[in-house]
Amino acid sequence: MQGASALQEILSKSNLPLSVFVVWEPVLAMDIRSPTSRTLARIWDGRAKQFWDKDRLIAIELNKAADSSGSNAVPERHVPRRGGLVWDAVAIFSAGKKWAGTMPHPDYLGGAVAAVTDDVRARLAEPDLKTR
Amino acid sequence: MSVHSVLIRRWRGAALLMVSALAAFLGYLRWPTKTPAGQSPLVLLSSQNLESFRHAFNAADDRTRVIAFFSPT
Repeated sequence: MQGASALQEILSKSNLPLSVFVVWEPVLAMDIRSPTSRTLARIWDGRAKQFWDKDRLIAIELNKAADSSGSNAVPERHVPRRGGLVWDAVAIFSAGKKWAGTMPHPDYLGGAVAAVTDDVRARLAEPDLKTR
Repeated sequence: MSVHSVLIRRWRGAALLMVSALAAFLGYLRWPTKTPAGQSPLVLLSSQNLESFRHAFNAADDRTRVIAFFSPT
């Protein structure tokens, strides 16, 4: 949950025109229901849309994208990934990238979120990322 | 008061406690959630509506997009 608060702090200090998709997913055995209102309130930024992904479908898609090798290899930093699961992580996609058959390669993938806030801020502030 | 009636009272008490705990647990599972003001309602993703996520992602392709993954606990 520290990660969600860290993300909100990043958003609070940024007025960039972003779209933020917050994906909550079961990781621990006690994650048996969708997040409570109190949990959702950790990300209060108006640019965010929140999702409960009980089957971890988005993580599976991101894993496919991130695992693809080649010239588009993702600069990945300490992302907790286990058995196809991705959590406490942030993926950033530049403008213009389309999700056609598979999710596009993220321009950045990092975690744990509280540990990479400076990286995330820097990546979001990159001019070529905003206008690409 | 006989031993028998004491046992029955204890069993009733235990049963009542279990039913209350079960009701509280079911209530917790079904308790509706609300997103903060200004946000659209929480979307429950499934393979049936995964397309809506992809659509929202592509619809915002004029700007940087962030996907964040968290556990609710």
